[in-house]
Parts: sequence; structure tokens; C-alpha cells
Amino acid sequence: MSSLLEVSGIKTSFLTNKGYLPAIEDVSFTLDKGEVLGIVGESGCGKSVTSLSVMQLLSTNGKIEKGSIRFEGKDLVNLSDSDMRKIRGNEIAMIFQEPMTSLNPVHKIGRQISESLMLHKGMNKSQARAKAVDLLKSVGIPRAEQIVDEYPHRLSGGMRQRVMIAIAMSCDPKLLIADEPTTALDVTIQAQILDLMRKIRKEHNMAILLITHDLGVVAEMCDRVVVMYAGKVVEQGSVKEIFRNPSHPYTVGLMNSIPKLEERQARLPSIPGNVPSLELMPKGCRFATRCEFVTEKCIQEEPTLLPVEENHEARCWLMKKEEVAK
Amino acid sequence: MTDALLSVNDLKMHFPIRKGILRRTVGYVRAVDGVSFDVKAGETFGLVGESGCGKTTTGRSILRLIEPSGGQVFFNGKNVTKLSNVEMRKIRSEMQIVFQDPYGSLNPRYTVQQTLEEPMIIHNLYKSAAERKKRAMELLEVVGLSTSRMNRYPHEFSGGQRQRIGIARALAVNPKLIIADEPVSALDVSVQSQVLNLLDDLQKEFHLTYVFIAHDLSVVKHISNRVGVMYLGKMVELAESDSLYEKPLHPYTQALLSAVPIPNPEAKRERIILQGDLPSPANPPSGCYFHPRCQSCMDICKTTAPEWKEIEPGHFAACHLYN
Repeated sequence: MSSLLEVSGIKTSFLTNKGYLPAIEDVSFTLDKGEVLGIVGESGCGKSVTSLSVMQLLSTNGKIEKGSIRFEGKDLVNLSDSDMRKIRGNEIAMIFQEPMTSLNPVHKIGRQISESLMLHKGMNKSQARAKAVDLLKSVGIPRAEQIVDEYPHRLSGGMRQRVMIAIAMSCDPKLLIADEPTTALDVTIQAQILDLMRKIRKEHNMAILLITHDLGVVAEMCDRVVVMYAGKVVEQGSVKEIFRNPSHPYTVGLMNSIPKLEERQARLPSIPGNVPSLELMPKGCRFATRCEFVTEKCIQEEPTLLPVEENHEARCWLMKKEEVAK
Repeated sequence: MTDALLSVNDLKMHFPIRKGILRRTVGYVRAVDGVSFDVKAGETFGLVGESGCGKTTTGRSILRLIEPSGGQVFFNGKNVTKLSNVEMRKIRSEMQIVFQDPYGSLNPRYTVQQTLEEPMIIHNLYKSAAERKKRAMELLEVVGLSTSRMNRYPHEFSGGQRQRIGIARALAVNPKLIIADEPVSALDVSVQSQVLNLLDDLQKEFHLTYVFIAHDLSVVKHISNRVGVMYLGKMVELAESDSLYEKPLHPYTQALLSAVPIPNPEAKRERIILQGDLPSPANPPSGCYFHPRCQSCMDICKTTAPEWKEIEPGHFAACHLYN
């Protein structure tokens, strides 16, 4: 079965005053139709750069140096700007973290939803407006007929994120990229938005690439997970396997350092140190400086993604040792 | 309540809404509307709620960083709200604050050393520059930063390290009480746990009392002995941390707890999804402020505000369900 989205070995670099520095390297994953894939990691691990690379929305100082991104067989990396524009917002839509800043403050809500409808679906103004009202209703906005003529500042954060989802859904995309869609929201509002995304996904059989730092959100929403650290994929597998048997020491540390609601711990386990900066990336395993199981081999040689179980891989030499021991 | 280090009694903070050329007051935003609680010496009191519920305003008006419009705050038996500015400044050396945003709360033009020495100079704590420097070095060691970086500027530190500097600055004047206003919400989880552990260690070492303000329920549970839940400027429930999380009484607390995503894909549970948004504190609903979003709303809730009652020993709530 061919996947909807196939990202293989991409390397995205940014031009700095020290030359091109790679923000992500050798990132590969696939996403099937109707599947929800989570990308987790801490700030600076490259999860947003990954999503922007897929959308071809990198700033002018960034470029994809290696690898391919195939969407329904088409390679997005080599696509011309005008061809990409036909896909963006139409077949792949995106919602961003900041519902406060990702809407245009000087245009009415209705106009912002209509824009992509008129562009991609060739609707006229009144058709687009009618569709905009329908979309607002479908994302659970009360008084949709009036809200259509409001400016974004009149809406709360949760409402704005609903509008963003309405815009993303306007052209019935096959893939929705959600970059930290609930991070700026309160928990009760987050629960509403996640519920809405779950409903939309079921109704439209849409694939979602969910980028988040919250393992709780991942556990609730995703089918599969990719864990990133310092620009590389360190572990990937199905949600159940990753949570039952986290294998990379970073994933283990990340899971342990969340305070649990159900039980009380005297002391939180934590990962010492900080994420290394781009220009000072260690030669071997990028997690070696913070890892409690570090060996000489980890410092010298970078591990590859090694299989843990079926459909579950981790970038750690420990995985190999286990194989030898067996 | 003799053992209370901090006692907040019916604290109110109403911000006037001014309109027109004459800037007439046309109404009030009731950011904090009659909040009372006690904090015992050596304990951590957690204050949770969603954005706009008034938890930060509560923290700031305790320190009189904004002047409360009503109610009293007793610190060590002294009525803080009655003190003159000069007396207030003196007492602030015993009550300090750690802010949420480690990027915005440090002066970018001050080195770490200057940042740490400033409160000592203001409170006239050490006579000579050498003594101040020695103390600043001590503080850096206490919060786990290398003293060799004392002459660096804030931009050279990561978020977690900056928050450590903010904590060191609060400790500089040997306070008894620290109000920590969302100290870890801007940090990544792995760094967040480092800072939480640090706060825990410091409490033991210096016998600190914390008022810990946060929106993250699991973080508050981890660090607090007792927790107060706020909604729209009012305290809706207050209890020992364990009993609050095991047996939440107020429907709002129940909904809040059930909304937290659990990092376990196999956990199944009933979820209460609240409808609608937080109402505006300028125009709060009648009766119980929570009634338009409440699942167990009764007729009385729409008209009468519920009383603040002790429902079980040490477990307070304001809800008509328990009358």
C-alpha cells in the first residue's frame, strides 16, 4: 500500500553567520490515509522545521538540502512554486500554534475563510460566504452568521483556533498538519479542540500530522509516534508500543519527567543538562552528553535506527546489545 | 489560625473600566473577587485555574505589586495592606516573587551578578561589594549554576537556566515566602522537572513557604501540600492536594481534572468536556459564576451565589450541590 505522505531522509539547513547549519537531518517517516502521526520532542528538536519543510514554508534562509517528500507520489521538494500553491491549503492544510497571531487582524473572519475557497474551489463571493458559515457551524462556533462578520480580536483563543480549523478544513484536505494546535489554550478548551479534531478526522477520513510536546496529547490522539531529539528521529513506532516499551533513553527520560496525576512521586526523575546547540552537535549519538547509559561507542559513532520490535525502531546502540545477548 | 504565615482574607482586586473623553468609570473587571486562604509556614500552597481566573492577580496583590481594592493580607501577623510604602518595602525582603517568563523578567542589560546584587543593595543587606559578590556566588551554587558565568548576560542562558537565575534573585534577600507565578510553564518537560526538584530542595534547605501559581494540574499536584482552585476571580474549592485530586467536589474541579490528557494510550476514562468559554469577569453570570457551563446546574445556581463551606474536614468548596 502506498502511503499518503512519504518523507525520506530530509535534511533542512538554515543559513547563519557560521554558514549553513542543519536543523534536521535524516528525518524519514510515512503517513497513511486517515492516520494520525504524532511528532514529539522538546523545543529546538526540529519538529516545527519538519512540518514547515513538508509545507514548503521555510523562511528564505532555509533550504532542504537532501531527501524527498512525496505526497501521493509527487515530490514536493522539486515542485514549482505555482504547483505547490495548488496543493498548499487545498490538499495539505496547516494549523499553527498561535491562534492569536495566525489570523489576519484587519480582515473579517468570513473573508479569511473565503479566500482559499475562492482560490482553490473557484467559488464566487456569495457561495464562499455561505460555505464559510457552514464551516463555522461545523467547528462548533455559535452564532456563525454573525461571527462571519467579526474581526479576530472579538474572539477568544479557543474560538480563534476553531476558526483556524475551519479555514484548514475549507478545501477538504487529505492531510492536516497541526503544529502545537492546543499549546496556547487552557486544558478545558484543549479538550474541546482535541474532541473537534477527532470528530473531523472521523468524518472526513483525513490524515493528521500532529506536532506537540505534550505526551498526554499524543497518547490520546495518535496512532503512531515519531520522537525527535536535536534534529533527528530517535524513536518511532505505534503509540501503544512506545508507551508500553519506550526504548530510547531520551524517550524514557521524557516520560518519567512528567508529573503524574494518578500517583505522587517524592522526586521527579529528570534528564540532566540541556539540548546541545546546532553548531556544537556531538560527533556520536546526540543524546550522549545527557544519557545515563553512555558508552565509548556512543561518543565515537552515531547509531542508526535499530529495530526494537515489529514497527518500532530506536536510534540507540543499546538496541543492538540486546540482540547480541539474545 | 495562629500557625499561618500568610493569611489572605476576602481579597478583592477590581480594575475600573474607563470610557469616554472624561474617562468615567463605567464598570469594573472583578479580577479577584473575595478570595480567602491561609498558608502555613513551610508548606506549599498551590493555586490553579485557567487563564483569566485571577490567580496571577491574587499573587501580585498579596505583594501589593498592584494595590488591592479590598480585603486584608496578613503576613506574620502584620496587616500588609495597611503598611506605608516604606514599611512595605522592608517587608518585601521577606516575601519574594518568581515570575513566569524567564525571558522577560531579567534585565537584559544586567549581568547575572548585577541582577543578583540589586535586591541586596535595595535592602541594604551587605556592607561591602566583596560581601555581595560572595553572596551572589553562593546563590548561583545553590541553584546549580556555575559561578564562572557570573559576568554573563541573560541572553547567554537557556530558559531553564534563566529561571534558575530568577529563583536565585528571589533568594538573595533570605525571604520566608516565595510566590512562584507559573515558574515552569515556559519550560520544556525535561527542564521543568529539574526546576521543580530545585524548588523542592530549596524549600527543605531554607524552610521556605511557597505560594505556587500554575495552570498545569499535574505540576501543582506534584509540588503542593494544599491546593486552591479558582474560577472567575473566586475560589471554588480548597483542599489537601491528595483529597482534591482523588475526590474533587466542585463540578469545575472535576471537569478540569478530567480534561488533562493522560500520557497512557491504554487508559480509558470518562471525560467531561465543558461547553463554551470562560465568561468575562467584567460581566459575570448571575448566581454561581460557573452555572452556564456546569453539568449539574440547578435552579438555585442561577440566582444565588453558593456559600463557601467546609464539606469535609479541611476540604472546602462553594457549590449548592453540597447544601
